[in-house]
Amino acid sequence: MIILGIFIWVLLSALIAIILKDKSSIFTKVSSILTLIAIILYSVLRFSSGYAGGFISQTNIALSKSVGIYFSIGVSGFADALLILTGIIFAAAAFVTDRKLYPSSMFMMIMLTEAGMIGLLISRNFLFFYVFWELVLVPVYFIIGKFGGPRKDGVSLKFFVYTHIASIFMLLSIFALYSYYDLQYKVLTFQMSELLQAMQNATFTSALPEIAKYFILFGFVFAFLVKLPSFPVHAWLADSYEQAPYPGTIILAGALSAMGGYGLFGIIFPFGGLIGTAGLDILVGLGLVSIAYFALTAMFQQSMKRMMAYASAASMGFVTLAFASAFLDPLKSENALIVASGGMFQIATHGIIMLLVFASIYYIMLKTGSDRIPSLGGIYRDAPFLSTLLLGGLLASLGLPGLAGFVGEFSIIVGSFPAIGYWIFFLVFGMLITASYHIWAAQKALYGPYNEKLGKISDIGGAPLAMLLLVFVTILILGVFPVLFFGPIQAYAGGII
Amino acid sequence: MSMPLIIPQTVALLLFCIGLYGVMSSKVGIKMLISLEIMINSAVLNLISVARSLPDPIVLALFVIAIAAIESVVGFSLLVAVYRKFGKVDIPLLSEIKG
Amino acid sequence: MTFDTNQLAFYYPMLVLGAAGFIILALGIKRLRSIVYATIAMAAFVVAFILLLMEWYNILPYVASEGMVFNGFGFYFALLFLVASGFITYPALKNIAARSEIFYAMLLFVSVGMIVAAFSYNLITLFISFEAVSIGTYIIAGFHKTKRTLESATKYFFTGTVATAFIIFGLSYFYLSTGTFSLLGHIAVSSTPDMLIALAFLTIGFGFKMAIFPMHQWAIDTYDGTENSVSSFLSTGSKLVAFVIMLKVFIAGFAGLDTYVYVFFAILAVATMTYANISALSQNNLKRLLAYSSVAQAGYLILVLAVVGYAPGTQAADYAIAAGMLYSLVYIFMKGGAFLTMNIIRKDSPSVDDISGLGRKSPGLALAFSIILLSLAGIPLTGGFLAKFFLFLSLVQGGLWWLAVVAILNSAISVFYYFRIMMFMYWRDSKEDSSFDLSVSNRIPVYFSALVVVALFFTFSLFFTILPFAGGVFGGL
Repeated sequence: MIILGIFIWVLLSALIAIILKDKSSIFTKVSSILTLIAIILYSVLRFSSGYAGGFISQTNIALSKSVGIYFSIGVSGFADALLILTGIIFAAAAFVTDRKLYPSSMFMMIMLTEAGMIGLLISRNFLFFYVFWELVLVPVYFIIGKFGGPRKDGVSLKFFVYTHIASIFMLLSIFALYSYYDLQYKVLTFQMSELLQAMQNATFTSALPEIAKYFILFGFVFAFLVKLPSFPVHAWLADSYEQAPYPGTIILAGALSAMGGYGLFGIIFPFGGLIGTAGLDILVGLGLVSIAYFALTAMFQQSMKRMMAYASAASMGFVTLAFASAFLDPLKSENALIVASGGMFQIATHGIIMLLVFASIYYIMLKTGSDRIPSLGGIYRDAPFLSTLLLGGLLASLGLPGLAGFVGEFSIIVGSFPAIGYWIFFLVFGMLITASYHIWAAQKALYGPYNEKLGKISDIGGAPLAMLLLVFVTILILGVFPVLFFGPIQAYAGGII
Repeated sequence: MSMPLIIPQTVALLLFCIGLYGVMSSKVGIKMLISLEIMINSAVLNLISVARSLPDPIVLALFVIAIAAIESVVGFSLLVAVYRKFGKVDIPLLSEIKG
Repeated sequence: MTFDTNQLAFYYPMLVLGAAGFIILALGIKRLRSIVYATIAMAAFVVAFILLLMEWYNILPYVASEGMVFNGFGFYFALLFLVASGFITYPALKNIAARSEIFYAMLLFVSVGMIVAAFSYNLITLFISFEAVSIGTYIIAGFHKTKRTLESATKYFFTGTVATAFIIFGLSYFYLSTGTFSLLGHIAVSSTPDMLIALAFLTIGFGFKMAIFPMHQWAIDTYDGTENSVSSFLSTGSKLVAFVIMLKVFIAGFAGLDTYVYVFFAILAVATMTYANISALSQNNLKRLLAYSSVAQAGYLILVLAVVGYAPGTQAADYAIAAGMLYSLVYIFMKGGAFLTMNIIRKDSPSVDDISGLGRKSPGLALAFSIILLSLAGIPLTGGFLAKFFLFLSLVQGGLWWLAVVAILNSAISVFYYFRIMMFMYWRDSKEDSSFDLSVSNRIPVYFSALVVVALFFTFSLFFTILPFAGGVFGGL
C-alpha cells in the first residue's frame, strides 16, 4: 500500500503543480524529493532483507471482475531498482528546471511523466501497463514540442509517432494473449500474473497457433526495442535527445530508456525462451550491431547531446545482448543468472550515469552558452568542479572499474561469452571505440588550451554542485557496493530462472 | 404467358446507366434532376419486374414513387435558392468550396 | 395484421418527437425567438429519451408486427441517435437566425426516422426511414442560405439521391434472390450472382451516406461548407444511421454470403482508412481535415463488418459488433465535439493556422479540444482509446491479423495530423487577423464533449454491458 500511496501522491502533485502557478517550481522540487525519499524508505523496509524473488506489496482493486480488469500492483526487485532510479531522475529533472524559463505547465508535465513511470513499473495488469506506457509519451511529447530546440515541431511528432506505433504493436500482442487465454481457459483476464503464467505453460503455448505465438512475441519485443532503442529502430533517438530541453533530455535518457529494458526483463523475461534460437540470434546480432554502430556514430557527433544520445543507445545494446544471451547460454543457470542480472543492473545504473552526464552538460551550456564540442575547450581552467564531475560521468559511461557502469557491462561480457563465442569481438570493438570518443570528448572540451572566445566563466557552486556530487557519489557507491541493487535483482532473476 | 425476367431487367439496367451518365456528365442542375428521376424510375421498373406472387416489391415501389416526388421538390427548391444566389444552376461549376 | 394496444407504447417516443415537430411548425406563425423552438425540441428529445429508457427497463423486448423489433440493440442505437440530435440543438442556435422553426422541425422529423431505423428489421421500413433522414438532412444542410452552404447542400443532395437510386436497385435484386424484404429469420438465397449485385449496389448506396472511399468526396465538400453544427450532425447522426442499417443489412441480410461480405468490406475498410488518413496529412483547411478524419473513422467502423464476415457467429463477431456500438457512442462526442469547436473560429473555412494561439488565449478550451483530438487519435485516458481498443481486440480475436496491423498503422498515421492541430494550438502565436469567439455558448459544448470523452474511458464495463445486445443485430431479443 505504501507504493500505491506514493503513486497517488505523485499524480496529485501533477495537479497541484499546475494550480500553484508561481510556486509550482518549489513545490515540484520538494514533492519529487519527498517521493524519492519515500521510495528509498520503502525499498529499505521491504527489500533490505527477506526478499526472495517474485512480487511483493501486491494489491488488487477489482474494477470489472468479469473481464479481468483490475487495478493491480506489485513490485519486484528489478522494478524497485528502477523505482529508485525514477525517483532520482525526476528529482534531478525538477531540480534543473529553471523556474524563470518554464511556466507551471512544465512542472506538471514532469510530475505527470513521473506518475506514468511509477504506474508503469508497479502495475501488474496489462491494461493499466499499456495505459501508463502510452501516458508517459504524451507529457514528454509536450515537453519536447513546447520547450524544445529549433526543430521541435517535427522532432516531437517523430518521437511520438515512432514510439506510438511500437506501443500499439504491443497492444495487439496483449490482445492476442487475452483472447487465446480466454479460448483455452474460458476466463477473461488482463492480469499479468495469469497471462504470463500461461505463456510459461507448455500446454498453453503448444496449443497456440504458430503465427499467433510469434505475433505475440514480436509485438512485445518490437515495442521494447524501439523504446531502448535498438539498432534499426533508433531514428527518433538522437533528434529527440538533441531537441528536447535539458530537463526533457534527462528524463528521456534517464527514465524513458529504462522502459524498454523494463519491458524486456520485467515483462517478457519469464517466457523469453519461446522466441527460439533463430530469434534470439537475431536479438544478439541487434545488440552487437547496436553497440558497435552507435559507438561509431557517436564518434562523429559534434554536439555533446547527440554524442551522449548515441552513447546511451550503445549501452542499451548491452541490454538487448544480455536478454538474448540469457536464453542462448548452453550452460544454463549460472551464466544466465549473471548475464540477466548484469543486464538489469545496466538498465538501472545507465539512467543515473546519463543523469550525471546530461546535467553536467546542462550546466556547461548555462555557463558557456554552447554544448558543441568544437566550441568548448579547456573549461577545466575556470570550472574545475564541473569539469571533474562531467569527466566522472563520462568515465562511468565508458565503464571504468570502480564506477557503476563497469559492473553491468562486465557481468554481461562474462555471462554472454559462452553463448555468443567469438562474436564478442564486436562488443570489444564497440567498447574500445566508446572509450576513445569519451576520452576524446573530455580531452577536447574540458582540458587542453582554453578557448578564449568563451570569455570568463564561473564554476558551479552551492545547490547544483551538491546535486551533481550526490549523483556522482551514488554512482561511486553502486560501483563499489553493487550488491545494493544486485541483491534484489539477482533474487528476482533467480526466482525466474 | 409471362415475359422472361431478363427483358425488363435489361431495360431497367439500361435506363439506370443512362440516368447515371446523365447525372455525371450534365452541368445544368435541371438536367441532373431529370437524370436522377430516370435512375429512380428504372429502379422502380426493376422492382415491379421482380414482384411475382407477394406484394412486397409493389409496396416498396409505391413508397419509392412518393419519395421520388419529395426528393424532386427538395431538389427544385434547392436549385431555386442556388439560382437566386449564384445566378446560375451549373452545379459542378459552383466553386465556393475549394480543396 | 393486428395492432394490439401494448404495441402502441413502443411508438410513444416517435409520436412525441413528431408531435413536437408539428407544434414547432405551428408556432412558427408567431415568429417567436429561436431559443423557444430550440427548447421545445430539446424537451421533446429529453421526453423521448426518458420514454425509451423506461420502455427498455420496464417492458420485455418485443417483436411487434413484422419488421419492428424492440430489442436492446435497437434501444441502444435509438438512444444514441437522440443524443446525437440533442447534442446540436443548442449549438445550432448560433447560426440560424431566420425561420428557425423549420430547422428544428426537420431535426425532430429526422430523429423520428433515425429511431425507426434503429428498430426496423424490414428493408421497406429501413429504406423509408433512411430516406426520411436523408431528405431531412438535405434541408438542414442547405438551411443557412449562404453561397457556401447552398453549394454544399446541392452537392449533398445530388450524391445522396444517386445513392437512393442505387439502394432501390440493390433492394430489387435482393428481393429477386431471396424473395423477401424481411431481415428476420433464415434468409434463403436462391441465386448468388443476383445477391452479389445486390451487395454491390447496396454498399454503394449506403456507403455514400457513410462516406466510405470512393464514395466520400461529397462528404469532404459538404462538411466543409455547411454550418459547424450541421457538419457535426451529418458526420455523427446521419452517418451512424447508415452504419446501423449497414450492420443489419449486411450481417443479417447477407448471412449466407459471409466470405463475400468479409472480402468486400476488408478491402473497403483498408482503402477508406488509408486514403483518408493520407489525404488528411496534407490538408491545411481545418474543417476539411476533420472531414477526412471523419471518413477515416468510417473506415474503422466498417471493420466491424469485415470481422463479422470473417468469423460469423463467434465471440469475435459479438465483440466486433459491441465495439462498433461503443465506437458509435464515443464517436458522437469526439467528432461532434470537434466540429462544434470550429464555432470558436470566426472564419467560414478556417485553416489550421487559424487556431494558432488558442492555447494562450484560452487554455481550458485548448485542453478540451486536445482531449477530443487525443480521443480521435486513440490515445489512452479517452473514450476513443477504449473504443479502438475493443475494436482491435475483436480483430485479433477473430484472427484477422493483417487487418489489425493495417488498422494500427493507420491509427499511427492519424496521430500526425491530430497532433499537428495541437501543435498549432499551443506552440504558434496567433495570427493578427484571426480572432476567436470565446462566448460561453461556444465553450460549453466543447467542454461537455471533452468531459464525456474522458468519462467514457473510465467506464470499461460499459462495453460488457452492451455486449449481450450485440446479438440483437439479427433481430433476436
